[in-house]
Amino acid sequence: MKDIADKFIELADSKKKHDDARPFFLKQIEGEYNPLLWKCYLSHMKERNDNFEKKERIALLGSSNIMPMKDMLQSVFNANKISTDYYVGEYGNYLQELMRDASKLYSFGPTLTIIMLSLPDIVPSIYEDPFSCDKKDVESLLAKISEDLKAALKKYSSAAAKNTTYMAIIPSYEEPCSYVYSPGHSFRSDTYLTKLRDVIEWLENEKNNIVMINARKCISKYPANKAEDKRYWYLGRIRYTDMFFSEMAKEVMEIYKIMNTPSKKCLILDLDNTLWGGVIGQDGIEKIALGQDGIGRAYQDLQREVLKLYKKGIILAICSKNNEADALEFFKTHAEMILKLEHFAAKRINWADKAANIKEIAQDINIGLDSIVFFDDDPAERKWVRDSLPQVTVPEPPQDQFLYGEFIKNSKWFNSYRLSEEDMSRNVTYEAVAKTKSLKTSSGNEEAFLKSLSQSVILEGVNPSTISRTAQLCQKTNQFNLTTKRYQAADIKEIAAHKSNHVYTIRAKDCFCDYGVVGALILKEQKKDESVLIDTFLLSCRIIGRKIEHALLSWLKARFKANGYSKIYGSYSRTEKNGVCANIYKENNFTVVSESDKGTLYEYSLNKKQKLSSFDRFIKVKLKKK
Amino acid sequence: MEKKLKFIIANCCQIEPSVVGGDAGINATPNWDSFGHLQIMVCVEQEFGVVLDTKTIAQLTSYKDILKYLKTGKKKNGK
Repeated sequence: MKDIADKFIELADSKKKHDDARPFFLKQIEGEYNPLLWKCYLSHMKERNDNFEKKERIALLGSSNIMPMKDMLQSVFNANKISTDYYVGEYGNYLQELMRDASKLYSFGPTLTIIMLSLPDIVPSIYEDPFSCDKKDVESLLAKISEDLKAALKKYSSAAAKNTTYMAIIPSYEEPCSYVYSPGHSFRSDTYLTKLRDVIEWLENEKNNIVMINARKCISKYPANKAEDKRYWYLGRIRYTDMFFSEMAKEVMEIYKIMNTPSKKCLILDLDNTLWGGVIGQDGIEKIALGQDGIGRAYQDLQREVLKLYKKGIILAICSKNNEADALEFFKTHAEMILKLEHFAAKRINWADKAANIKEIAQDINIGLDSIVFFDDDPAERKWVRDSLPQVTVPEPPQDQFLYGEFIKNSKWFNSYRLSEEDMSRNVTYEAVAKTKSLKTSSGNEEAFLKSLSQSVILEGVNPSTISRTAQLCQKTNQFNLTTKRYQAADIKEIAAHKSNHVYTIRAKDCFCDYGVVGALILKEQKKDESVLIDTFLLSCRIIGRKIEHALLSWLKARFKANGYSKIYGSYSRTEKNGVCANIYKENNFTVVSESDKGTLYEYSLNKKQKLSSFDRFIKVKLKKK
Repeated sequence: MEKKLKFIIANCCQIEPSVVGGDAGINATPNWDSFGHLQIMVCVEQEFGVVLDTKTIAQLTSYKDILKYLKTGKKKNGK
């Protein structure tokens, strides 16, 4: 144990290797809990003038003393290059703090509030004197507590709109009636937990800035005596061990990452010894391990996991060194294959260099290399791809091939907090993209192609049901994103609340399918010169090249002209990835106002006569009325 | 043992090990307050492989007391 803390200090204190201390710490805390390592992080990294990439203001509220969370969180956040400031509320006082505008909590102005509640603190009377309560007492007490919690969180989530609240109701090892083996529904801690979780789940759906921490997942990693410690309860009103708090801090970080970083979009798979056991070319089809029984089941289970990802909206592709005809034949004829050829949006089955193949796949499906995970059993291929394409994520799979399925299941590359309708239907639309590509080839010229698509675009004011999708698009869209402002749900809500702002979702349809919400447009009216500013304009890469951006700009011009506005401003902020939309304003007759390294500001005078482009005739733009 | 104990105290209190002298203790050393004390006790248990009872945790409030306990298994009043 000591060795790990020592090694960490060696890295942290060294000038040359200081930067390695962070990843070392993050890797080590995934293993066995080491209190000294956690302590060393802050004492050895804190005073350095680090370049943090982000800053968060974190408020901690607990039904008992949760002070140990502070250092744990600070270590994990700092190790992820996020600096943090803290407010720790007086324990047991959380309802009052949430309800009172004038409380210290509100004046701290948190961006993240973590609330940890323990059942024995929430319903102390049942725990302290269960035999004096009857079923009715328990029910009315729970109903009251649920209502109070709901009201407090509703108020807080509306008032502190820039904040996201992470709620944890921690399951209890303690039962109120421990002397009775089967005390009945009303006297089980699980009943209280379910009831309170229902409240949070309801709030999660109502409010975009409340999320639930899966505290059961954290506590179930340890036996009771490792998660709770009565000594610290009596000495400091701390219910849980540092071990448990460290697990909670890691869980908070995990949710934070899911909410704030785009997930990977595409999984590229090798075939031999990855999707099935054996090598088709050498072993022959009959010797390949794949099926319901024996070890073949392991490969089927892996395929089932991959299919789950496909259905969640992850794009699949194949990159394998094989004779293409053999591999395709295997897919078509082997009865035990769970994955079918139609699940793969792109295939490169040949003897060429895998890095070059992966590059081509990325172009084919129109995604960045950093959205790709490449999974291959061969260490040489992994190294080659890792060295040639550092942007691609190349995981190191477990030694034991039979555990590949579990490995994929526990991976975090494709996690998202919620499942949106668009996620579920993404692969259907990728198929449509493939179909439109073939239509494009058969129609010959672009105009005929666009006409044959019968596209329509529907703009709709953002509403509670589309806020999270809009935020998701702001977080994830890299290519057609003119300003790349990474708004979160709370920001969107705040912008939309101003009368002079308009936040629209963009929905697209064509003759093949309804693509769902594929873009967002945020406009800000500026009274001083009767103009409107395009603050955000983004479109998912699935529909780039369909000219709907041109039709949308024409629609904007016409609409604001009709409403008496004189100008439209739009800016383009350059990033590494948004070259695809660099000229959109120029192409639509906007003129340059100012230019710098970071980007360009354009304007369009609405006084001039507008010329319709051919695209406008083929693409219908409609504004959905409220 | 002395060095290791000072190392634990320094890291729990987020101070330099050289600052931890023989007279270090609760409310005398920076950040060694009632909360810091519990943090030190967690690390002492882990690093020295001992299990402290609640009363002992409440009593081992200085560097010397902890050291004596670790060496002899006794608290400062000798019991």
